[in-house]
Amino acid sequence: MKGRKIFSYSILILFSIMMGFPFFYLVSLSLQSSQEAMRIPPTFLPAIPRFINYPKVLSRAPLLLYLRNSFIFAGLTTLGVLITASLASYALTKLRFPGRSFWTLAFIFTILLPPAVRIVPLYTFIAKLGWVNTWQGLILPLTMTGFTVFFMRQYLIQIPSEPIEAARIDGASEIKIFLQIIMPLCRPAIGTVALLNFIFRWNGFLWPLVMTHGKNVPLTVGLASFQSSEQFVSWNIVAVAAMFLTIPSLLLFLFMQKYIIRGIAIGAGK
Amino acid sequence: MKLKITYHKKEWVSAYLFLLPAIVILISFYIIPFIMGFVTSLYVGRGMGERFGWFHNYYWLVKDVAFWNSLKVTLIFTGGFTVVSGIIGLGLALLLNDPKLKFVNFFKATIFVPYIIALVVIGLVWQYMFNDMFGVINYFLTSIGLKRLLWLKSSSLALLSLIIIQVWYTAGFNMVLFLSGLQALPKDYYDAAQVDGAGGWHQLIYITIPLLVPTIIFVVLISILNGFINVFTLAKIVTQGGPINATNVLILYIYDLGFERLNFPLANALTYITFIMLALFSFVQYKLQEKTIFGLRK
Repeated sequence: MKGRKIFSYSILILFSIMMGFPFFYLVSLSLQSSQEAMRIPPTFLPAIPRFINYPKVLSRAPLLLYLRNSFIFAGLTTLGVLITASLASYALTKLRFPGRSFWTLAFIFTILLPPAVRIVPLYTFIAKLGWVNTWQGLILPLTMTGFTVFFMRQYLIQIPSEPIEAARIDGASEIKIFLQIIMPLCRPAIGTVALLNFIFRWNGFLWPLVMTHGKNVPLTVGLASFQSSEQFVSWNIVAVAAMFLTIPSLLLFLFMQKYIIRGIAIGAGK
Repeated sequence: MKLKITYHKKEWVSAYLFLLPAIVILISFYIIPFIMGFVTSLYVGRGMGERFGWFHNYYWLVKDVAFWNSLKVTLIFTGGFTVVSGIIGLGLALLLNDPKLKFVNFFKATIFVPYIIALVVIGLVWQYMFNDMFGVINYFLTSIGLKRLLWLKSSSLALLSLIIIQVWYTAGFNMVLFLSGLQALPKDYYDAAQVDGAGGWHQLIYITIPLLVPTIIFVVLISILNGFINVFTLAKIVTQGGPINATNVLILYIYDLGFERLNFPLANALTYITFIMLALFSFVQYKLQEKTIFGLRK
């Protein structure tokens, strides 16, 4: 029994180190000088940590603007999916109407159509509307996703219908029932959907890559453009910009990890 | 006796009002672009020379060496990382499922954390670590007496490098999925096995794995979807599809046809081929899951 425990701990510690090492390395790299970043053998810890790298990068690229764009993009798409998914899932679980299973399937089916798959037809359509490089073009197509409708539906299904029936007999309107009974009960599900969707869009790359350019790009696209830009950008500078993108999602994870991990497990467990 | 369902008119009118926002987005940003894209995929030529060509683009793609290459690369990537990351995830979940273990939440969080980081960042960090001159991976290899390898510059190793990154990225995610599957398993099977004197390996192979089939299928499906999609970002950032198309995956090829070569009819045709493959995968999963569910989990 003791041997098994030692085995478990050593494997788990080994994997924790392997998962953590690239982060440690990223932080270290962001504090190195350009010479240290290109040295053989590689530098694991800078001789003196150069915090000056951080303000230096801000003067080279409009990272704060990109950061703001990322917040708007991730924030508004999240607000959108919350509205569409909570309204739709209430109808799909608590109201009886013709076409209920058809619409349930139709929404869930869109899980197979993330922006990466429909990138070309969607771009062409947005271009016809003249919405390329606009907020509405970037955000609106992502305000309904199969996953969020599915997730909210799974949560609402297990909420008992009795209080709803009782309120209906008392003459409450559906919208009143939705706002005053359903929404408060759904708070945990709403929180999880909001967290997962926000992090997902915050990290999103392909859709903003084709939809935005110039001053409108979110930080993922701005960071990738460092690499493809004409003049050479030193690795320590790239690492600083990567830190700007990583810190917000890392902080969210640190404080909300219970909800995030539980949310993913619920999504799997149906 | 079959009961006729009666709908109250007021109830279904309000149902459709609740559904309206989601339906509007579904129709305008999924269905309409998809129909328009399909029509576009039936045209050939660009600009003034554009004309209706039936399934010419599909026919062209079937004969296109680059298409078959991108399909092969995508399948190797997806298959490779799905198996490796699945096994690692399951192994870690089995270790963590031990009630006597301490620091479970710490390990869970540390091993899961790569999954919440942007793939752009992951791609850049690993590209730096895989660098054949000053990268740490070659440094470790040489310090234990092995040869340095041209990870990203050789066509045989570039795809393997992407698989390694993707395994690192998804192993913790799979671990969380498997752990929730394990924790939902009924305990009485194990008690019975204990009485019969079945050992750890026996329990794993004859009880745990069969009961875990629904979770395994779910992990495979998510991995396939993830594999088709995430690989775009990794391939674009880390290898740019190279060297010599060795990592030119499907979505990257679609992107290239559409946004670099501006051949939208061809890019749309490839979109449909990709979509049909994904739909087939999930259809198979749906059929499999119905049969192997053992009456568990509804």
